[in-house]
Formats: sequence, structure tokens, C-alpha cells
Amino acid sequence: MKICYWSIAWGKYSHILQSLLKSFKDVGMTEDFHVFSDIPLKFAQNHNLISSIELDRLQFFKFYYLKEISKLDYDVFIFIDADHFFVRKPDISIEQILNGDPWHSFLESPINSYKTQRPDWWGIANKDLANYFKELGINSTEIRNTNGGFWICKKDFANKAFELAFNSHNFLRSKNHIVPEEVSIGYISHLVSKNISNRFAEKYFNYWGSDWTSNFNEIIPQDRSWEWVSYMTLEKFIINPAIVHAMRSKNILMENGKNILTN
Amino acid sequence: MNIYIFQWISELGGADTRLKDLLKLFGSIKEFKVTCIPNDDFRFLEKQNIDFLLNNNIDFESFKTLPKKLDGIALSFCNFRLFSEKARIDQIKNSGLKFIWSNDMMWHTNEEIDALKNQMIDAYLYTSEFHKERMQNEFTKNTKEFIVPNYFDSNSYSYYQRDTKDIFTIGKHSRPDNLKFSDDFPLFYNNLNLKNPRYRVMGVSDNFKQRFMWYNFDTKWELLKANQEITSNFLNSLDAYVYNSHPIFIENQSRAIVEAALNGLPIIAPNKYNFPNQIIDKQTGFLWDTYEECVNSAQELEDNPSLRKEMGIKAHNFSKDIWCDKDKQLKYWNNIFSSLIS
Repeated sequence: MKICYWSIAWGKYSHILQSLLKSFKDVGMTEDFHVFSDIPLKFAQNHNLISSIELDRLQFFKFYYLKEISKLDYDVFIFIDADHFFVRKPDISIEQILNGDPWHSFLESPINSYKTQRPDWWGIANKDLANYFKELGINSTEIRNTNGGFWICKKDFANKAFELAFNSHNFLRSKNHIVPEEVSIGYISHLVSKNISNRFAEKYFNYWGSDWTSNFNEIIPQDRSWEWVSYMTLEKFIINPAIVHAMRSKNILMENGKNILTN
Repeated sequence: MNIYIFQWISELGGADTRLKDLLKLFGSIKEFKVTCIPNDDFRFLEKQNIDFLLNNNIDFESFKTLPKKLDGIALSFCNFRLFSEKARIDQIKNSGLKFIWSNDMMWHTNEEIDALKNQMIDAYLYTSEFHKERMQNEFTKNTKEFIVPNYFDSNSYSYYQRDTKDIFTIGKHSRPDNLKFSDDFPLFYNNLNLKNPRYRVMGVSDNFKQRFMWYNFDTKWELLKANQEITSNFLNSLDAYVYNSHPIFIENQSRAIVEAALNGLPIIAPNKYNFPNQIIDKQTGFLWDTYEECVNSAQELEDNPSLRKEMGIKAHNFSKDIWCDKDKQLKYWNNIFSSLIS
């Protein structure tokens, strides 16, 4: 299986992405990493941003770029937001994660469980979203939120993913909910997984985790245990993932990236 | 009485197959003089269909050569070209015929609404209360409205006695329309987690494989084009009929479900739309609210051949009583005809 990682960044995010690229190399990752950026970055295969693709606020540009990148000669494309950081080399393969499915994103936390604490995801009441997903053909009983910062798509699923993303987005728009690409990413994960538990975040606590509660508050993520909070249930777990979605470390990652570029 | 049917028959699609069974009925009534008018004259080259019409005492005539003044009834099911090619509906109306229109779909077209507004339609047909509830509007209310359920010619759909086999075959058939399959269709069957399944699906479109190229269709799957097999042969090969369609598609009065039931298949379908009027839950099949229930039902049928048989017999008998009642169907039509022609 021929795999590549890819990302999109501009402005300060290009520097943040540079940090990610360095961490990717430092832990010994050997796959190709393609970037679409406004400046050339080290340790990457560089592409210019595509001027015809609008960098929309809801981040659906990711799906337009997916269509473009999927033309390259790889079997699997791993999208990773710039504000990620590899603290060590993962010990699970992409084949293991996909487990025969064409698509993966981490389904983090149930929106319709008795444990659910938050009333909504992206402003859509949990009950409504569960019903909308059902109307959109989701059969699983449990519905979860996802993180749009890391997802995997097989080459031969890219066009379908694009179509499903916009179908679900337009459906929700017709119900007066204008939500980011993340919801569509979650929808696809529910829809095309043979067993959605293969997408559940807790299965991959050693692989990936999103630090939305500032464990690494403006410090560069490290290979150590930290407390992960399940977004919808607020349950706490101690995890030590190889890849940290370091969304609360952006400034330090930006400075780090600038240094890498200038040295 | 003259009945001009502005539609042609085919082996595919609810409206055309509905017409075919209805023509067998109308053709057997000596008071009815029935003429079929296709949209296009090339249809006269379809020998099989011409033979069918001749064998059932049905005349056929080109739209182009149809006399300008006619006496009797005009009837059509879902031939939307009558409206989109406005000269057709104008000709029908100007001929003096009383026009009966049955839109068996779950949506109106703008041209159809225009025809209603302009009082080009004398009688508007629904196939069920469910259909009427969804389709009735201020314009249909200005016509005479009737409910005429689907009709099935009992001789064409006989019960099939199945042997118990090791392999449990489920499937479905439809026209080759993307809306007849959910976006996760292969997983919908796959995730039923059957022990020894085979999946037979008839009605895949040319782009079906492309649409689901992300899924590895293994040897358990047999994907057939529409009408690749004679419908009865296809249904004979199944042990249970598991309905699936795209979530945005609202099924009205699925003929495929009735064909399967008449064949003696237990049906598994969602507990929505018009299905509760077509399937008696836990008697002639299973209606599911959650996918988990769908899985449980399929597994129960796989594990229990005698339940399949019992449900299949009930499905056949129930459907035959409801859908193959010649006298009842004729009453519906005679009632409509007499209300239009005094």
C-alpha cells in the first residue's frame, strides 16, 4: 500500500506545518509528505496553493484539495492539519487503522449516549444531529463527534468522499445548520465503516490524540502521558499518543517552524 | 368505452409494469376498447411488447396519426413527457378525452403543476392514502381525486416453494437508479453479519461499480443488470428480500416488494413510508426502526428456515388478497370512468 501524508497551510500555519514536518522526519517517518503552502517548506514535497480553490471559513477546501492530491500515484492519502506533532514513531500501520475500510477519522465522543454532557455539536442539538444522520442513512446506534484535523482516504474513495461531504453539508444547510467540514468528515466515517468501533478514538490512544484542553499549553508536545478529555462526555483518560493534535501549542510551533526554516 | 393509454409497457419500473398488469385486466373486459399510444414510434419495433398487446386485445396507435377528435378516456401513469412536451397534453385535452393522470412518484414536476393549474387533468390518481397525504395540494384538489392501489396479475406472480440450503441468499431488484441504493449499500448487507450469505442484486447501473469502487465485492456478491434475469427466476433464487434505497428516496407503493411477497419471500424493510401497509411486521416479514433490528431480523431468518417458509406463505397470501383482486380493481376503475363520463 503506497501511502502519503499531506497538508495545506498558509500564513502562520505554514510555519506551524514546518514544525510538524520536522517532527515527522525526526521520529523516523519515511513516507512522502506533500504540502500545499504559500512558502516552500523543508522535508516536504511542495506544491503551490491552488488559486482556484477558495480557502473557505468552513474548511471545505480540504475536499477540493483531496480531489487534486488523489490524482497522485498513492493508494492512501492521510490528511493532517498543520498543528499536529509527532512525538514518536507510531507502532500501528495505516492498514490496521483502515481495517479494510476506505476512510478513517477518529470518532471521539458519543453525542447520543447517557454519558453525553454537552447539548450540541457545532450548534446542532444532539438529538437533532442523531436524527439528521439517520435521515442521511447512518445506521449505527451510537453517533459520535469527530476531529477534522486527521483523516485517511483511499485513492478510489476520494471522489465519493467529496460527494458525500457536500451531500451531507447541503442537507444540514437545508435544515438551517451551516457547519464546518468536520461534521461531514464524521458523517463519512459513520457511513462507510464496516464496524464503526474501528473508528473510535479510544482504540488509538497510543496513536493519536487531540489536546484541546491545553495539556501542552504553548509547549512543544512531548512523548509522555497526558489527560485527554472526551469532548462530549467530559470523561477523562490518560493517554500517550504518538501524534498529538497540538491545537493549544500554535504559537510555540510557529516559532519553532520559523527557526527550522531559517536554520 | 374507449380507453386511450398514453404510455408504453416495459419490464422495468413501477409505472410500466403496473400498466402491463392492468392491460391484462382491461383487455379481458369486452366493454373496454383499449389503445396504447407510445411517446415514440420506435416502440412499435419491440416485438415482444407488440405480441403482448395483441395477445391481450390491446390496440396501438401512433401519437402522430391519432384522430384529432376522440371519445372516451385518456389515461397515463407517470409519463411526464405528456407535460414537458406540452403539445402532447394539449392534443389530448383538445381531442375531447377525459384525462386521468396517475403520478406514482413522490414528487410533482413544474409542468405537471402547470397542467393541473390549467385544468388539463380531469382526474388525479393516488396509489394509497400515504401517497395522497404526501402529494395532495391545492391544485390536485381542483380535480377529481381517487385512490387506486397497484394491481398485480395473479397468474404472473406465483408462489415458489424453496428448498433449505446451506447458503442463505438475500437480495433485491429495482430499476438501475442510484436512488435505489443507499450510499453505504454494500455495508448495509455486509453488516447484517450473516453466517453463510450470498447477496444477489438485480438492477445495478453502469456506474454502480464506480460508485462503490471503495468496496471489495467478493464472491458472495452477484451484481446483475436490470432485467438480466426474468424477475420470477431472480426472486426464486432468494431466501429473503432485504429492501434498501437511498435515504432521500421516498418509496411510494413498491411493486418490487409486492412481487417478492407474491413469490413467497419474507421481506425486511424499514418501518416507514408506505411499507407498514405492505408488510405485516413479524408475520409477512420484518419492519425495522433501527439497523440493529434489521440485523436481528435477517439473522433470525437465516437461522430459521421454517420461519422463512411460514412468513413467505403468509406474504404470498396476504399480497394476493390485497393486490391481485381483479373485481376490486375493476370497481375502482369503473367508479372513476363513470364519474367522468355520464
